[in-house]
Amino acid sequence: MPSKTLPSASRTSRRVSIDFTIADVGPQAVSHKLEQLDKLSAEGAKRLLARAADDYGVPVTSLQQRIKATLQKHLLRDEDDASPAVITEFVDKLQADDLCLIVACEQGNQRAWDDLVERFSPTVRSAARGASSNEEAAEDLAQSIWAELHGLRRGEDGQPTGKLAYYSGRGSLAGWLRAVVAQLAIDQHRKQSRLVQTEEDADFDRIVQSSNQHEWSGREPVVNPEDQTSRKLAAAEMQRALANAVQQLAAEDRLLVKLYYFDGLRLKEAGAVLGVHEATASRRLTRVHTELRRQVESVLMNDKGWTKSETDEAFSKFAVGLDTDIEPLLAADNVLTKKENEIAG
Amino acid sequence: MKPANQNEIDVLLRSLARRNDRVVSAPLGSAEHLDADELNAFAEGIVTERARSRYSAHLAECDDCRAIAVNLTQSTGFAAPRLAPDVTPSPSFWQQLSGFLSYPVLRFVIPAIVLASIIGIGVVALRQDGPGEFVAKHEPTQQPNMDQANQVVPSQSPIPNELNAPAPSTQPVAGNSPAEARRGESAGSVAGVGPSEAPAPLQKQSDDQVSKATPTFAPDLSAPAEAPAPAPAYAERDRAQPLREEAAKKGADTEQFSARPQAKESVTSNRAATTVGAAANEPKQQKAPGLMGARRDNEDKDKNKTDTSEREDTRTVAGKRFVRQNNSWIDTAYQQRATTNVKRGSEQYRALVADETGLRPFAEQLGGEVIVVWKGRAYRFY
Repeated sequence: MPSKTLPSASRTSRRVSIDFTIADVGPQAVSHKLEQLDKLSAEGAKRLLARAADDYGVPVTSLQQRIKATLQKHLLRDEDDASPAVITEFVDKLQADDLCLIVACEQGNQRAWDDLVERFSPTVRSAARGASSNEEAAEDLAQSIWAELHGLRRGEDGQPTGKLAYYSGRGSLAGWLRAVVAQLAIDQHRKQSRLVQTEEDADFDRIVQSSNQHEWSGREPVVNPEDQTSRKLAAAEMQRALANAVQQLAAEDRLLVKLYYFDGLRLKEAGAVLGVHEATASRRLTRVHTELRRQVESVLMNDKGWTKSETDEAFSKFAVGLDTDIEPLLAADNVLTKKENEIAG
Repeated sequence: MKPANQNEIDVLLRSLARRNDRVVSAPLGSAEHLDADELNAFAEGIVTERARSRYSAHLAECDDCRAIAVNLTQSTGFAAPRLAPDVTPSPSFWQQLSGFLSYPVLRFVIPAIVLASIIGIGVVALRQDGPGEFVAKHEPTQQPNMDQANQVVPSQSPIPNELNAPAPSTQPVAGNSPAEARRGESAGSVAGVGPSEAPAPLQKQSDDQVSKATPTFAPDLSAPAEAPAPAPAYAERDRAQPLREEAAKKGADTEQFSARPQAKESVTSNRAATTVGAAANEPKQQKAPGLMGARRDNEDKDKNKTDTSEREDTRTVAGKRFVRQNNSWIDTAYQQRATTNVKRGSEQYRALVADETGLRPFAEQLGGEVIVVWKGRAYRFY
């Protein structure tokens, strides 16, 4: 049975700490917050057990620890000043049934484990089929998941290293299982495709060599939009400015650009990932276009010394098909950037 | 920004995407990635705004995590409940309102409102003048009949008896209001004169008016206070005049005021026409109770039909009650909210029913479009 091999150190680092490390508050305030968190999570655990259709005999203390970890991970990390009311509301939205089931499984409750397998086998199989190329691979993947979940191994601290420890109850258990399957599938695929990636690295080297033969300086080309060669370089300059501008977008805008242009999703699909309607995504994309154009123009005119007419001309010429001509230059530029990053990092 | 400028940026972005290389990141279990719990929370749309921003920043850079997030969203459609494709969100409403109140719109809207007000005042004025004109125009034609009616009014009680109609059935109706009294008068008078005694041209005119004016009378005539009594009195006569009734029904159902060229000038609104008809076209009232009875029968039938269809349009599946609306089965617990749309037979559907087996009966036992509320979410199967 294949199993996923993750470094135990990284697993440990993923385990959520419940320690507060608040910078600008005194020890008393931290202590008070911890006490308050203990109290709220204990009360929340009792309410959660009462809500669960089947609590599998999970003790309040076990659930309290899990709730504290969930609070720290999903709420307090971003809002460490969350009020008790917000914390209470957060706890009351946790998936009571799923969380009790998982905590019971972690504690070795056989009935809970049987229920988990019975209820979620179709989910795991469905997700595995979606992530695998054939039925056999899907079956292997599904089996790997159950081994991961079961947590046969224990870490140095004696705690089970199974993935069940990472389910927080924030989202549905079925969705979480799908995410686990998808992660495992990608890791397995990555292992299998390492050789292919090595070949791709060789391709990059060839591109660099080829571009060097064209005596292209790469970083700071002399820009003269009237000249053919300079025009290509100008387009490359625009691309660099655009790439930088994309990096400066707000996180969700940048994600939209990646989903729509880089992943090739339709606007409706990209909107679904972002949790917005297609029309909203469309409006947001239009705004992003405007922002990017302004940013690129600003870089080209202020930093590179282009005139407004040169900038507009470069944009319009690029739009009618110059992009194909500059692909080798851009690719080489990309490789150079990667090499620089490797040296720097 | 001009569309051409947007196209240029669009081309640039596509070119940028083509030269993008997949970044080989650390194994997905490592700390730099989002874990399964965070990815799932993101895909299900249950993260705080700050966390969403943090996750988005990582997803924008990490191809692998982004692929998983896309996969989760597409396989279960959990992000969809955050969408509101059919419901106008309140912020955009205010935006629309503020846009509506902006000067570029108001400069057209204000003159339009003024114009509409003038037209409205004119209509009101016409409505007030309308009945008088109508009565005046029809007065000569109606006069002989009115005379006959006046002569017969005192003896109207015995006359319905000759027609085997219960006298009290007309009396109380006539006493309800002045307008209804006139109807009672007219009914009695015409009954007294009898169909054979009525002047032929007048009879024809009244028939026409009945067939054309009936729709305007329908609301009044079907009023509960006066509906029950006259119906049996004229039912027999109405059966003898199926064509008139049919014409009246047809007018009631389809033509409304459009087929009233002769009385067009009197019709400024439903209410005005009703008043005018009640005041001036008294002969047609002889048909009204019968029509009313027929209409009431139809309404009863419709009501029965509705009751039956209501029974047929309500189904209970797995303890949930569904009502059929526009070829859709809608959970009675459903309130206007965004739905997760799932096509039967799709991968998303299979994933959903695998996760939530309780949903399967609703999708399979109910045909067509089904909206069901399940664990606080609304799903639409189609």
